[in-house]
Amino acid sequence: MVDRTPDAATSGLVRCFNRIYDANHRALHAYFLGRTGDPEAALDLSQEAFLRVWRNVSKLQELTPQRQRYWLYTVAKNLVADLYRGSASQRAVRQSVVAELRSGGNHEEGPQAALESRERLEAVDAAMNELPEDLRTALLLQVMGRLSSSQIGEALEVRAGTVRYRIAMARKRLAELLRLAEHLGTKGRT
Amino acid sequence: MTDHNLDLPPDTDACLDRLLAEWVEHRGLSTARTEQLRQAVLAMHELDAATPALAAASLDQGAEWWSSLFTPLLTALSQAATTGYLSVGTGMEAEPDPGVGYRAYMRLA
Repeated sequence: MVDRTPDAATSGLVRCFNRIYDANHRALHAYFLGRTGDPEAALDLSQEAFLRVWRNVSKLQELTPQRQRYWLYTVAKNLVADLYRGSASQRAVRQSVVAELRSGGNHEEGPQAALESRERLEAVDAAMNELPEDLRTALLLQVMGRLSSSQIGEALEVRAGTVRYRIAMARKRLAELLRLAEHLGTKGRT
Repeated sequence: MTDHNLDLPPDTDACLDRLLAEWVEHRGLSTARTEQLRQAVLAMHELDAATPALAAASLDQGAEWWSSLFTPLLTALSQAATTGYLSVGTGMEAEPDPGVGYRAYMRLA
Protein backbone atom coordinates (compact mmCIF):
# COMPACT_ATOMS: atom_id res chain seq x y z
CA MET A 1 0.00 0.00 0.00
CA VAL A 2 1.24 3.50 -0.80
CA ASP A 3 2.44 5.53 2.17
CA ARG A 4 0.12 8.55 2.23
CA THR A 5 1.81 10.42 5.08
CA PRO A 6 2.60 13.85 3.62
CA ASP A 7 6.18 15.07 3.95
CA ALA A 8 7.03 18.65 4.92
CA ALA A 9 7.33 19.82 1.31
CA THR A 10 3.95 18.35 0.40
CA SER A 11 2.36 19.90 3.50
CA GLY A 12 3.71 23.27 2.40
CA LEU A 13 2.20 22.83 -1.06
CA VAL A 14 -1.14 21.79 0.44
CA ARG A 15 -1.12 24.91 2.63
CA CYS A 16 -0.34 27.04 -0.42
CA PHE A 17 -3.09 25.35 -2.43
CA ASN A 18 -5.56 25.88 0.42
CA ARG A 19 -4.65 29.58 0.64
CA ILE A 20 -5.22 30.06 -3.09
CA TYR A 21 -8.41 28.01 -2.93
CA ASP A 22 -9.82 29.90 0.07
CA ALA A 23 -9.00 33.27 -1.46
CA ASN A 24 -10.46 32.54 -4.88
CA HIS A 25 -12.99 29.71 -4.95
CA ARG A 26 -16.07 31.85 -4.42
CA ALA A 27 -15.16 34.43 -7.04
CA LEU A 28 -13.96 31.85 -9.54
CA HIS A 29 -17.22 29.92 -9.25
CA ALA A 30 -19.10 33.20 -9.73
CA TYR A 31 -16.98 33.91 -12.81
CA PHE A 32 -17.78 30.52 -14.36
CA LEU A 33 -21.46 30.85 -13.47
CA GLY A 34 -21.50 34.29 -15.04
CA ARG A 35 -19.75 33.15 -18.20
CA THR A 36 -21.75 29.94 -18.74
CA GLY A 37 -25.06 30.58 -16.94
CA ASP A 38 -24.92 26.89 -16.05
CA PRO A 39 -24.37 25.82 -12.40
CA GLU A 40 -23.19 22.34 -13.37
CA ALA A 41 -20.66 23.63 -15.88
CA ALA A 42 -19.51 26.21 -13.32
CA LEU A 43 -18.74 23.46 -10.82
CA ASP A 44 -16.90 21.33 -13.37
CA LEU A 45 -14.86 24.29 -14.59
CA SER A 46 -14.03 25.33 -11.02
CA GLN A 47 -12.82 21.83 -10.35
CA GLU A 48 -10.66 21.82 -13.48
CA ALA A 49 -9.23 25.26 -12.73
CA PHE A 50 -8.23 24.29 -9.20
CA LEU A 51 -6.78 21.03 -10.45
CA ARG A 52 -4.49 23.16 -12.62
CA VAL A 53 -3.66 25.24 -9.55
CA TRP A 54 -2.69 22.04 -7.76
CA ARG A 55 -0.51 20.89 -10.62
CA ASN A 56 1.26 24.26 -10.71
CA VAL A 57 1.21 25.07 -7.02
CA SER A 58 5.00 24.91 -6.60
CA LYS A 59 5.32 27.70 -9.20
CA LEU A 60 2.31 29.63 -7.93
CA GLN A 61 3.58 29.79 -4.36
CA GLU A 62 6.32 32.13 -5.58
CA LEU A 63 3.79 34.65 -6.94
CA THR A 64 1.96 37.41 -5.11
CA PRO A 65 -1.79 36.86 -4.47
CA GLN A 66 -2.54 39.39 -7.21
CA ARG A 67 -0.38 37.52 -9.73
CA GLN A 68 -1.90 34.24 -8.61
CA ARG A 69 -5.36 35.68 -9.31
CA TYR A 70 -4.23 36.89 -12.74
CA TRP A 71 -2.88 33.41 -13.52
CA LEU A 72 -6.09 31.82 -12.31
CA TYR A 73 -8.37 33.99 -14.46
CA THR A 74 -6.18 33.43 -17.51
CA VAL A 75 -6.69 29.69 -16.99
CA ALA A 76 -10.40 30.31 -16.39
CA LYS A 77 -10.82 32.22 -19.65
CA ASN A 78 -9.12 29.42 -21.57
CA LEU A 79 -11.32 26.81 -19.93
CA VAL A 80 -14.48 28.70 -20.90
CA ALA A 81 -13.16 29.10 -24.45
CA ASP A 82 -12.50 25.35 -24.59
CA LEU A 83 -16.00 24.66 -23.28
CA TYR A 84 -17.61 26.83 -25.94
CA ARG A 85 -15.50 25.30 -28.68
CA GLY A 86 -16.68 21.87 -27.62
CA SER A 87 -20.28 22.92 -27.10
CA ALA A 88 -22.89 22.19 -29.74
CA SER A 89 -25.13 24.88 -28.40
CA GLN A 90 -24.06 27.51 -25.91
CA ARG A 91 -27.68 28.45 -25.49
CA ALA A 92 -28.61 24.91 -24.54
CA VAL A 93 -25.87 24.88 -21.93
CA ARG A 94 -27.13 28.13 -20.48
CA GLN A 95 -30.68 26.86 -20.16
CA SER A 96 -29.80 23.76 -18.18
CA VAL A 97 -30.02 24.05 -14.42
CA VAL A 98 -28.77 21.55 -11.87
CA ALA A 99 -31.78 20.18 -10.03
CA GLU A 100 -29.76 19.61 -6.89
CA LEU A 101 -28.72 23.22 -6.67
CA ARG A 102 -32.14 24.43 -7.70
CA SER A 103 -33.91 22.44 -5.01
CA GLY A 104 -31.37 23.31 -2.33
CA GLY A 105 -33.72 25.69 -0.57
CA ASN A 106 -34.27 26.39 3.10
CA HIS A 107 -35.98 23.24 4.27
CA GLU A 108 -37.02 24.81 7.55
CA GLU A 109 -39.52 27.00 5.69
CA GLY A 110 -43.16 25.99 5.54
CA PRO A 111 -44.48 24.55 2.26
CA GLN A 112 -46.03 27.82 1.11
CA ALA A 113 -42.97 29.89 1.96
CA ALA A 114 -40.71 27.29 0.32
CA LEU A 115 -42.84 27.40 -2.82
CA GLU A 116 -42.73 31.18 -2.95
CA SER A 117 -38.98 31.15 -2.35
CA ARG A 118 -38.51 28.62 -5.14
CA GLU A 119 -40.61 30.72 -7.51
CA ARG A 120 -38.55 33.79 -6.67
CA LEU A 121 -35.29 31.90 -7.23
CA GLU A 122 -36.50 30.53 -10.55
CA ALA A 123 -37.56 34.00 -11.64
CA VAL A 124 -34.06 35.27 -10.85
CA ASP A 125 -32.55 32.25 -12.66
CA ALA A 126 -34.53 33.13 -15.76
CA ALA A 127 -33.68 36.82 -15.52
CA MET A 128 -29.98 36.03 -15.05
CA ASN A 129 -30.04 33.91 -18.19
CA GLU A 130 -31.55 36.82 -20.10
CA LEU A 131 -28.65 39.11 -19.17
CA PRO A 132 -25.82 39.52 -21.67
CA GLU A 133 -22.83 37.48 -20.57
CA ASP A 134 -20.55 40.44 -19.82
CA LEU A 135 -23.16 42.10 -17.57
CA ARG A 136 -23.98 38.86 -15.74
CA THR A 137 -20.32 38.03 -15.15
CA ALA A 138 -19.54 41.44 -13.67
CA LEU A 139 -22.63 41.32 -11.45
CA LEU A 140 -21.93 37.80 -10.19
CA LEU A 141 -18.29 38.56 -9.47
CA GLN A 142 -19.57 41.35 -7.24
CA VAL A 143 -22.55 39.79 -5.45
CA MET A 144 -21.40 36.17 -5.39
CA GLY A 145 -17.63 36.52 -5.68
CA ARG A 146 -17.47 39.52 -3.31
CA LEU A 147 -14.81 41.21 -5.42
CA SER A 148 -14.36 44.97 -5.67
CA SER A 149 -14.76 46.76 -9.00
CA SER A 150 -10.99 47.04 -9.39
CA GLN A 151 -10.50 43.33 -8.64
CA ILE A 152 -13.21 42.46 -11.16
CA GLY A 153 -11.53 44.75 -13.64
CA GLU A 154 -8.24 42.88 -13.19
CA ALA A 155 -9.96 39.54 -13.68
CA LEU A 156 -11.88 40.65 -16.78
CA GLU A 157 -9.13 42.93 -18.07
CA VAL A 158 -11.38 45.99 -18.24
CA ARG A 159 -11.33 49.29 -16.34
CA ALA A 160 -13.02 49.56 -12.96
CA GLY A 161 -15.33 52.22 -14.38
CA THR A 162 -16.48 49.79 -17.05
CA VAL A 163 -17.15 47.20 -14.35
CA ARG A 164 -19.29 49.65 -12.38
CA TYR A 165 -21.22 50.53 -15.53
CA ARG A 166 -21.83 46.87 -16.35
CA ILE A 167 -23.01 46.15 -12.81
CA ALA A 168 -25.40 49.11 -12.88
CA MET A 169 -26.71 48.00 -16.28
CA ALA A 170 -27.14 44.44 -15.05
CA ARG A 171 -29.08 45.59 -11.97
CA LYS A 172 -31.32 47.85 -14.02
CA ARG A 173 -32.03 45.10 -16.53
CA LEU A 174 -32.71 42.57 -13.76
CA ALA A 175 -35.12 44.96 -12.06
CA GLU A 176 -36.96 45.35 -15.38
CA LEU A 177 -37.05 41.62 -16.11
CA LEU A 178 -38.31 40.88 -12.60
CA ARG A 179 -40.77 43.76 -12.82
CA LEU A 180 -39.74 44.92 -9.37
CA ALA A 181 -41.18 48.41 -9.76
CA GLU A 182 -44.61 46.93 -10.65
CA HIS A 183 -44.51 44.52 -7.72
CA LEU A 184 -43.53 47.25 -5.32
CA GLY A 185 -46.31 49.46 -6.71
CA THR A 186 -48.85 46.65 -6.26
CA LYS A 187 -47.70 46.04 -2.70
CA GLY A 188 -47.89 49.73 -1.95
CA ARG A 189 -51.50 49.91 -3.11
CA THR A 190 -52.74 46.93 -1.07
CA MET B 1 -18.89 56.31 -20.03
CA THR B 2 -22.35 57.81 -19.61
CA ASP B 3 -24.11 56.75 -16.46
CA HIS B 4 -27.51 58.35 -16.97
CA ASN B 5 -30.75 56.61 -16.02
CA LEU B 6 -28.95 53.68 -14.40
CA ASP B 7 -29.84 54.50 -10.80
CA LEU B 8 -32.77 52.52 -9.50
CA PRO B 9 -35.32 54.02 -7.12
CA PRO B 10 -34.27 53.30 -3.50
CA ASP B 11 -37.10 50.83 -2.80
CA THR B 12 -36.44 48.94 -6.07
CA ASP B 13 -32.72 48.95 -5.30
CA ALA B 14 -33.30 47.53 -1.82
CA CYS B 15 -35.73 44.92 -3.13
CA LEU B 16 -33.19 43.81 -5.75
CA ASP B 17 -30.49 43.57 -3.07
CA ARG B 18 -32.71 41.27 -1.00
CA LEU B 19 -33.55 39.10 -4.02
CA LEU B 20 -29.92 38.81 -5.05
CA ALA B 21 -28.83 37.96 -1.50
CA GLU B 22 -31.43 35.17 -1.38
CA TRP B 23 -30.42 33.94 -4.84
CA VAL B 24 -26.70 33.92 -3.99
CA GLU B 25 -27.40 32.03 -0.76
CA HIS B 26 -29.12 29.26 -2.73
CA ARG B 27 -27.15 29.25 -5.97
CA GLY B 28 -23.68 30.00 -4.64
CA LEU B 29 -21.28 27.38 -3.35
CA SER B 30 -22.34 26.17 0.08
CA THR B 31 -19.70 25.43 2.69
CA ALA B 32 -20.26 21.71 2.15
CA ARG B 33 -19.96 22.07 -1.63
CA THR B 34 -16.81 24.14 -1.18
CA GLU B 35 -15.17 21.41 0.87
CA GLN B 36 -16.32 18.67 -1.54
CA LEU B 37 -14.71 20.56 -4.39
CA ARG B 38 -11.47 21.04 -2.45
CA GLN B 39 -11.31 17.36 -1.48
CA ALA B 40 -12.09 16.25 -5.05
CA VAL B 41 -9.14 18.28 -6.36
CA LEU B 42 -6.82 17.00 -3.65
CA ALA B 43 -7.90 13.40 -4.33
CA MET B 44 -7.19 13.85 -8.02
CA HIS B 45 -3.68 15.03 -7.24
CA GLU B 46 -2.98 11.66 -5.63
CA LEU B 47 -4.15 10.00 -8.83
CA ASP B 48 -1.93 12.23 -10.94
CA ALA B 49 1.05 11.31 -8.80
CA ALA B 50 0.29 7.61 -9.11
CA THR B 51 -0.47 7.47 -12.85
CA PRO B 52 3.06 7.91 -14.35
CA ALA B 53 4.45 5.15 -12.15
CA LEU B 54 1.62 2.86 -13.16
CA ALA B 55 2.06 3.60 -16.83
CA ALA B 56 5.76 2.82 -16.67
CA ALA B 57 5.32 -0.46 -14.84
CA SER B 58 4.80 -3.76 -16.60
CA LEU B 59 1.37 -5.25 -16.01
CA ASP B 60 0.60 -7.69 -13.21
CA GLN B 61 3.23 -7.51 -10.51
CA GLY B 62 1.18 -9.26 -7.89
CA ALA B 63 -1.64 -8.51 -5.49
CA GLU B 64 -0.04 -5.54 -3.77
CA TRP B 65 0.67 -3.86 -7.11
CA TRP B 66 -2.92 -4.34 -8.25
CA SER B 67 -4.08 -2.94 -4.93
CA SER B 68 -1.89 0.15 -5.36
CA LEU B 69 -3.25 0.46 -8.89
CA PHE B 70 -6.92 0.42 -8.03
CA THR B 71 -7.04 1.98 -4.56
CA PRO B 72 -6.55 5.55 -5.84
CA LEU B 73 -9.00 4.89 -8.66
CA LEU B 74 -11.64 3.64 -6.25
CA THR B 75 -10.99 6.61 -3.98
CA ALA B 76 -11.52 8.98 -6.87
CA LEU B 77 -14.60 7.10 -8.04
CA SER B 78 -16.06 7.30 -4.57
CA GLN B 79 -15.36 11.03 -4.66
CA ALA B 80 -16.93 11.27 -8.09
CA ALA B 81 -20.03 9.39 -7.00
CA THR B 82 -20.37 11.64 -3.96
CA THR B 83 -19.89 14.89 -5.78
CA GLY B 84 -21.28 14.01 -9.17
CA TYR B 85 -18.04 14.88 -10.92
CA LEU B 86 -17.30 12.79 -13.95
CA SER B 87 -13.71 13.70 -14.74
CA VAL B 88 -11.70 12.01 -12.01
CA GLY B 89 -8.14 12.63 -13.04
CA THR B 90 -5.58 12.41 -15.82
CA GLY B 91 -6.15 9.30 -17.86
CA MET B 92 -9.24 8.36 -15.92
CA GLU B 93 -12.89 8.93 -16.62
CA ALA B 94 -16.11 7.79 -15.05
CA GLU B 95 -19.66 8.00 -16.26
CA PRO B 96 -23.01 7.17 -14.72
CA ASP B 97 -24.20 3.70 -15.63
CA PRO B 98 -27.77 2.60 -14.89
CA GLY B 99 -26.63 -0.95 -14.13
CA VAL B 100 -23.64 -0.46 -11.85
CA GLY B 101 -23.81 3.16 -10.72
CA TYR B 102 -20.51 4.33 -12.18
CA ARG B 103 -18.43 2.81 -14.95
CA ALA B 104 -14.73 3.71 -14.85
CA TYR B 105 -12.16 3.91 -17.60
CA MET B 106 -8.42 4.06 -17.11
CA ARG B 107 -6.04 4.79 -19.98
CA LEU B 108 -2.59 3.30 -19.60
CA ALA B 109 0.07 4.95 -21.75
